[in-house]
Amino acid sequence: MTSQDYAGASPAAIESHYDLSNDFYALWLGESTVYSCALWAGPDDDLDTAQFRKLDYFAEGVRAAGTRRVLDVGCGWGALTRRLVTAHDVGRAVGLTLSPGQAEWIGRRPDPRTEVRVENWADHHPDEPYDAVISIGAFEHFAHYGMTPDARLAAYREFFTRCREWLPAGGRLGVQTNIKGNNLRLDRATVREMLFIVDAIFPESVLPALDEVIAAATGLFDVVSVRNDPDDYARTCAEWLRRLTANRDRAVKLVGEERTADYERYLSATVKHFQRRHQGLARLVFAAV
Amino acid sequence: MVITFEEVCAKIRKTVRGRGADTLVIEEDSEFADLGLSSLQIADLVYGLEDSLDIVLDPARAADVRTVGDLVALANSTAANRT
Repeated sequence: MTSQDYAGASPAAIESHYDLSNDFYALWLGESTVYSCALWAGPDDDLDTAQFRKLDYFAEGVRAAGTRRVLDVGCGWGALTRRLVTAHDVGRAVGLTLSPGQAEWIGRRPDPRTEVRVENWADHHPDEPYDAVISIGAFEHFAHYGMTPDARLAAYREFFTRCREWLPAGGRLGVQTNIKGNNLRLDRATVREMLFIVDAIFPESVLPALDEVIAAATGLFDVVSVRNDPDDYARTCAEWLRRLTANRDRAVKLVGEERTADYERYLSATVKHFQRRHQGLARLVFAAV
Repeated sequence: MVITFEEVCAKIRKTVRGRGADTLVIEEDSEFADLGLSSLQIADLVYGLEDSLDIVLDPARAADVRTVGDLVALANSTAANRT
């Protein structure tokens, strides 16, 4: 990697979102504390069950069960690393985050089989390979809004190159990411809401197109499976918004009226963006070649 | 009221945002496809131009726009023909 290479959003950009307040996120993410699209099954499903189903989907997709070492790039509040060692018999699950607040949260519930590191994936140099790698809801931060397509592709390529170095041939990589939707007819209100999210909610981030993700992996990984679940993310955001609204007084005490209103606006807009297919939600499994 | 090439360039840099805006090289014959603008950035640019000039661009003619110069010309001809 050279100094010219882009290594994703800065720690300051990540902290501005994810270090807002652990207790604030806990108000609306549910017991699973998973901040990414759930995998729903039927109208009677509940958020935590759907989140654990998503974690299990990736654990099974990368064949994590019974392996020695699995890496989670962008580990959030540690739900996946905990799930890997408790439900999938993984020997050691290592999570990377750029958020000190998330690492502190995970540290409150230490498990000797899990390790959290406040470290960029570009700076991660493990002593031994991993059996599998999973990255859920981090890819959006690997390039930033305003990058040229070539620069984005190079940044994504760097991530897949590093993942390939960490894995044996045949080793699997699971990636979940928001993607650009194929409905390109953006009305004024949609443009306004999307730019609000770019500017006020997720700095130094951008949604990749699905073909960019796959192009960046070409020559390094085979694609094993791809699915696009925009309705799952619309439902997840709607449920988060419902919980945030139900706990609004507490949220305002934690982060203030303005930031609470920002999150209500962002979650409400995002529900519509998925429903109208301005955004998609890709779940991909790759195999190293 | 007309809009200049320089003003459109400023609007492009504003919608691109951040570090990418500083390094973007824009000429009158630069094609939007080569500038790498996303559909969101193009929509933001077009709506911004419409608001500045109090015009509505004809979607069929806008679809034929390839270069930055084309967009400047379309915006100014639309403004000139406004009734």
